[in-house]
Order: sequence, then structure tokens, then C-alpha cells
Amino acid sequence: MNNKPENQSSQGDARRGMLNGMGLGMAIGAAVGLILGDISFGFIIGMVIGAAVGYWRFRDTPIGMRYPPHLVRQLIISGVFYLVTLIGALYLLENDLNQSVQIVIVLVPTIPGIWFLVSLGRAIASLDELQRRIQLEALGIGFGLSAIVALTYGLLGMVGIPQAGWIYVPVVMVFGWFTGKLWTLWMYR
Amino acid sequence: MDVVDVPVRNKLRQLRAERSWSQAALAEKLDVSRQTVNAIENEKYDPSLPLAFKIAQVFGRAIEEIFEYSGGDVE
Repeated sequence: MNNKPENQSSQGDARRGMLNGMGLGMAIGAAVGLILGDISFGFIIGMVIGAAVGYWRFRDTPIGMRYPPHLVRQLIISGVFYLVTLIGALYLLENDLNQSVQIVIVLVPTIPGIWFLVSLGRAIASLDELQRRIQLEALGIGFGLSAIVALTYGLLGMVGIPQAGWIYVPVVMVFGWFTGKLWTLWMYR
Repeated sequence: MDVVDVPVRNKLRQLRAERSWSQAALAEKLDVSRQTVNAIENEKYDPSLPLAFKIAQVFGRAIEEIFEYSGGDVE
């Protein structure tokens, strides 16, 4: 039986808070960097500030999420596969290929993408009832935020603000998810 | 700010303290995260019926000895 003192668990929770904050900070930093013109600088600064805020905010707050290690591995591997095939597809599309080959190249990243989604679904299903609720609420908030940001930015495009590339859509979605997750974690603290 | 308000009160913290269990130890017995135990203790979250039964079983009490509905009478 695990009878370790609660402050030891809090340290682990603070580390998880730091990681969550880092993710949120990266997304915010990338968004600010996008506006200011230097996305990588914003990414790094956001990561550092986000980690500090996440650690400070959750240092005494139990927020542990328990994903089984094999599902975490699946998530990481499928995510890396997705990114590699996506970058590979972008690189190959720069070459002069016929349309049918281009279509196949564009569709290839969807395979690891679906694998990632299945892994994510299994990881969420493995959580306990409160954690599943937190994830569901976080996804709902993330979806709403992404929709508002996309619609607002689309409208800003109508008044002359330069449009961002499609590559920033996942950044906004991740930002929304992390924001929703931090909010719901705080609600059930 | 209290964002989550649940109408069920419980004696989880008191019962856990009587047995000198940490939140982590109780969480392990219930097969949930420590966050879930913490949220139930702080009355931010009502457990599902199966989890409430499990809690009652772990403490060797009836559910109504641990949880109390405080949302008023049903008409």
C-alpha cells in the first residue's frame, strides 16, 4: 500500500502543473509570436513563462492525471509519426508530381493521425470518472475557444488583417484545450 | 470563487483522518486518482453510484452514513 506523505505527491503534481503550463505557454507564445512576427521566440518565451506559472499555480494543488505508460508511449509514437509524415508530405509536395501522386501524399499523414486519435481516445477512456469529465469539459472549452478565435480572425481578414496559414489551426486548438484543462483542473482543485 | 457547487455533503475527510490514511492511499484503494479523492473531500465533485458504493465498502459503512443529500426535500 502506498502511504507516502501527501507533500511528496504534491511535488509530482507541481511537475505535472509545470508541464501543463509549459504547453499552454508554448501555445500562447506561438500565438503572440505569430502576431509579432517571430513564432520561435514566442514559443520559447511562452514555454518558460508557462512552466513557471504552471509550477506556481499547482505547487500545492493535487491535479494528477494517470495515463497508463503504454498508452503514453502510443500517443508519443503516433504523434511523432504524424508530424514526420506531415513534414515529409509538405516537402514532397514542393516537387513537380502528378496530381494522383500528390493526393496519395496528402492522405498518408491521416493514417498516423487516426492512430493518434484512437490512442487519445483510449488514454481518456482509461482515466477515472472525474478525470474523464475534466477532459470532456476541457475539450468543450477548447472547441468553443478555437471556433471563436477562427471566426474572429476570419472576420478580421475582411478588414485587411493578413490571414495566417492553416498550420496555426492546431496551435489554436491546443491552446484552447490547455486553457480548458487548466480551467477545469482549477475548478475541481 | 466556488465554481462547482454540489448538493451532497460527505464525511470522507473525517473517515480518512480516523484511519490515518493519506489521500494517495485512499485513492489507491479506490483505484482513482488523488485528485478525485481531493475533489470529493472538498465537495467539488459528487462520485458516481458505483464509486460511492466502493467508498462505503472501503470504510465498512453504509452509503448514507458517509454521504448526505443537502439539496432540500423533493416535492
